[in-house]
Amino acid sequence: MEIFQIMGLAIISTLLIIVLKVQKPEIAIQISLVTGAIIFLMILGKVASVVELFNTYAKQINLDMVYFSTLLKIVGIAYIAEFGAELCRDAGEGAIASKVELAGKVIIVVMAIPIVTSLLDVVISMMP
Amino acid sequence: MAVKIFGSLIVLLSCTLLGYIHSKKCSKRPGQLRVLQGMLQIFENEICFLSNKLIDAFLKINRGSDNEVSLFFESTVDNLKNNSGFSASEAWSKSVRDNIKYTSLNKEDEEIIVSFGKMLGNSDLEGQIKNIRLTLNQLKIQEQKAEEFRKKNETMYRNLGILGGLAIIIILF
Amino acid sequence: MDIDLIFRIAAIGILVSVLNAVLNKSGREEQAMMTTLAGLIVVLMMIIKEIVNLFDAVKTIFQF
Repeated sequence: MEIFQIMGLAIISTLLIIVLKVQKPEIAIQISLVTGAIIFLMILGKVASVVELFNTYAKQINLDMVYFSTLLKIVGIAYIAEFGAELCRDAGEGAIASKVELAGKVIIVVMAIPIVTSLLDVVISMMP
Repeated sequence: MAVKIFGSLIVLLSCTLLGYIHSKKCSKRPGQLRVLQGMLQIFENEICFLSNKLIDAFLKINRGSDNEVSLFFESTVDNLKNNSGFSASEAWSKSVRDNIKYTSLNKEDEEIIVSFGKMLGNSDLEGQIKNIRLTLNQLKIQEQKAEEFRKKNETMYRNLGILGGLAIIIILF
Repeated sequence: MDIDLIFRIAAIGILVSVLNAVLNKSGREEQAMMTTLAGLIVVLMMIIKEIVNLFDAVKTIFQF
């Protein structure tokens, strides 16, 4: 069961961060960064299998691959932006965190433009 | 794994030892300066009240002392006895420069001790005693400085040695 | 190997803070500052590999 491993990892790193936070906050932040990276790498296999599942179904119903890969990219960007923003917020830099979130949102919107345009095309064509 | 642990232990031990030796050096210096002052006091008595010759006075100072600084007096006597061409001040400065590395004294102390020898055997009794007094005063100032330095740095060097060893182990492990 | 890294970083952090305290107590603020900086850089060098791993993983999974 992977969840026990992850929980143990999280508790240990939390304790270490609490110990270090008073004296050396900069190193505590780095520990939280590494912990986040390690936990993600641990659940990577599971995410990959889920993505694979979606991929096969998308192929079965003949979905346009452009849409599907855009969707996946958006999920990835959202994850990375969230990761960075939370790290900044933990370090007490709320301003930079909100900037990172804004950047993530803007990039997601830009990536979603093809999907939105095709949707709007469909809507316009259906209009009388 | 066993090799790694063994190597780490060696690194830790050597770093701890390094710090320990350094702190020992710091703590020895004021003691040696104090002993040197005592010896110069004896020397003053020797030439002031007993009017002994330089070699006899030095031999007398030397007797009963096993501190490192007595090497200065011992080797001065040797220099005077073996090389007849040496003057007293030459013999003194040569012996100080040869033996300073066996003591914990630093460059400043060395200069003071050598300059004490410059006047050695160059003037009458009055001048000699004035020279000794001057050197004693300078050594006292050096001793105070050394004591201050020791208080500040003795424990720090020891801790620094251990912590440095630990840092090397953690980074390389 | 993963939990190892966390422990190592925490050990460096604790070590640096103790070193800092020792150096500060004997009146060497500059060296204390330098040790802090050195510890930070060493830890950064250690975690850079892990960050690169994370980015690569995200890129492959979400088909960038």
